[in-house]
Amino acid sequence: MRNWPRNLKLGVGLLIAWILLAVFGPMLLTGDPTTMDLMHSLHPPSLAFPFGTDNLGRGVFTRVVYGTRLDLQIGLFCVVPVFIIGTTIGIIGGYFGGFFDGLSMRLADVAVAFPFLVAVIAIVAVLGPGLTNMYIAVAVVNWVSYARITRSEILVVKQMDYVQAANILGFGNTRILARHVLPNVITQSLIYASSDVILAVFTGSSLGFLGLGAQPPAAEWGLIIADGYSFVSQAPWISAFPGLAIVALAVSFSLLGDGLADVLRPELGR
Amino acid sequence: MAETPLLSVQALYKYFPLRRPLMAALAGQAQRRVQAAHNVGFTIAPRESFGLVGESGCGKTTLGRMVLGLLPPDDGVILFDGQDIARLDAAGKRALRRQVQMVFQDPYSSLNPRMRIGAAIAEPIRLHGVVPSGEVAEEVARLLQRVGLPASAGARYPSELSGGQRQRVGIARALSLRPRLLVADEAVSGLDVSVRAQVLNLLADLRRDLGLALMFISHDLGVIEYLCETVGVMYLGTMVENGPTAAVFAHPAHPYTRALLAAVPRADPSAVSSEAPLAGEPPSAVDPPSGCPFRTRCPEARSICETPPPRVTLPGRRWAACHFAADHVQ
Repeated sequence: MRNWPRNLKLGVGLLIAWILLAVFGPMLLTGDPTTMDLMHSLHPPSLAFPFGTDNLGRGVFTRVVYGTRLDLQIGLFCVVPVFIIGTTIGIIGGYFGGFFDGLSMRLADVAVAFPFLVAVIAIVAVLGPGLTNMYIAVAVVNWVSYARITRSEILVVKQMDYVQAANILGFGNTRILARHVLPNVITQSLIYASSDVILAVFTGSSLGFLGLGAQPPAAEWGLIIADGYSFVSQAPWISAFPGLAIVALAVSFSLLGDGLADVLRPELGR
Repeated sequence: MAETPLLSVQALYKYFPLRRPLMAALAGQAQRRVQAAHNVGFTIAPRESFGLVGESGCGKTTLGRMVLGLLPPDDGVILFDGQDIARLDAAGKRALRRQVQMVFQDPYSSLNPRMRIGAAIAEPIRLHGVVPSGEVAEEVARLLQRVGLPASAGARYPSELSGGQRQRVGIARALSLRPRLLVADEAVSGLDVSVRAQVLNLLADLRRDLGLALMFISHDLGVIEYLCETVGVMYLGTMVENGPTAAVFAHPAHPYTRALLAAVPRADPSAVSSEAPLAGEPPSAVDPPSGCPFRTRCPEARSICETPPPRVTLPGRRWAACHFAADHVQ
């Protein structure tokens, strides 16, 4: 760990901080993120309400802290299943080629023919609003990135002599894929995934803002921004603080992705 | 030949089809194909070292891949220890894997960068149960020492080793299954000259000590002369000459062999080659010349060369595919 580059140390540190905040933050707060208190509506930031209050008198700080849980969950659920599905498709298609490869790559072409957000919105609109449907919509579109990244790496790695050597040594396909191919192709996807989390949170927030993702009164950053949207001239703090939270989370994950790239890629060149 | 050969390749043919535009296919044009092996035959006796030499693109590597069972021939048979490797069942294939192994050209791409050296050598030993599982670590250390590496190298990653060291690891891995035939495809071409000599000596020692047969594929005549007892010369997917290395190099029977030998630079500046260097590029393997494939570049080509040359058997267990082979070796 001591040899880790600075950006990776910082990224991992911030990620741990975010997880701690999501797990323990709400326990330390006395307020409730959904209880309305119209006596204290649209309070500017103060000691009692560090991030001010919204039009319904809910503390923005409390809501942003609770929102950490939901937004990290969105990041996780939008990326992990897609990572697994996309990588598997890419590995099988890239290594064995043939009909499956052709079919999956044509499906990929279809999935990315629409702009990402437009496709997700269209699918959610059909399935109905809500987080679960959003996860499904993201999975339908986003597996393509992982499948393509992995497939292009596999096409290089499977030509390497060490894969041929494994064949000549009589190893089975499963062993060759798991021990000799996978460890050499997974790096790119892994690095991409850490920055994809940011994209997922953005997507979650955008859909929340549009009313297609998390549903009110849930505390989700995009929703909080939407809440403050009508009051942005009188009470800019409502939208500003969850916005800052998104930026901070994005910075953490991009540091993590950068750091991973530095650690996993260099002298490995060949 | 008194002994039964370890490897016997008989009348082997291999063509690679070229991609043909859809319109050409519809118009009924013939499928064009690259000739990689055309009626190739040779044998390797147990403990023999056989060199395969020729220009790049002449089908040496394809031949090696077919011997390893990685590529099915279009026609012909490959017998290993009397068994047709194309007709093996799964268990037979597994047994063949233990008997025939390969050393690669590029020491940088032949080792998994994410695997420690020791693990890479131990994996095949474990999988094939070469030694009881308790003795795998000792076997790995023994193999590393056998190829001239310290046993401590097992804990290293390939990126921590030099090209020559990696090539030794590749050899140790190939030896881990205790094969009887080692196919080395340009195994020293990617190495520095000083390291090359060490690896060549290692291969020669291993062959002597372990009783390995060697199929050494190279374009380097000097290396072949040093390491191999017999040699096969390839040109455009055909074998043009075959025989004991010393005799073939001293009195080449085929004009192509003579041209190859004449092209070897001599360290002696006063030595002037009597042979004219080979002119031009080899013809395309897509449309090889009819008859003798070498006739388009051969200084002695005559009209008879438009018919396929016979395989002329020469004294001293040699043959050459040339109409005039007998005239050259007297």
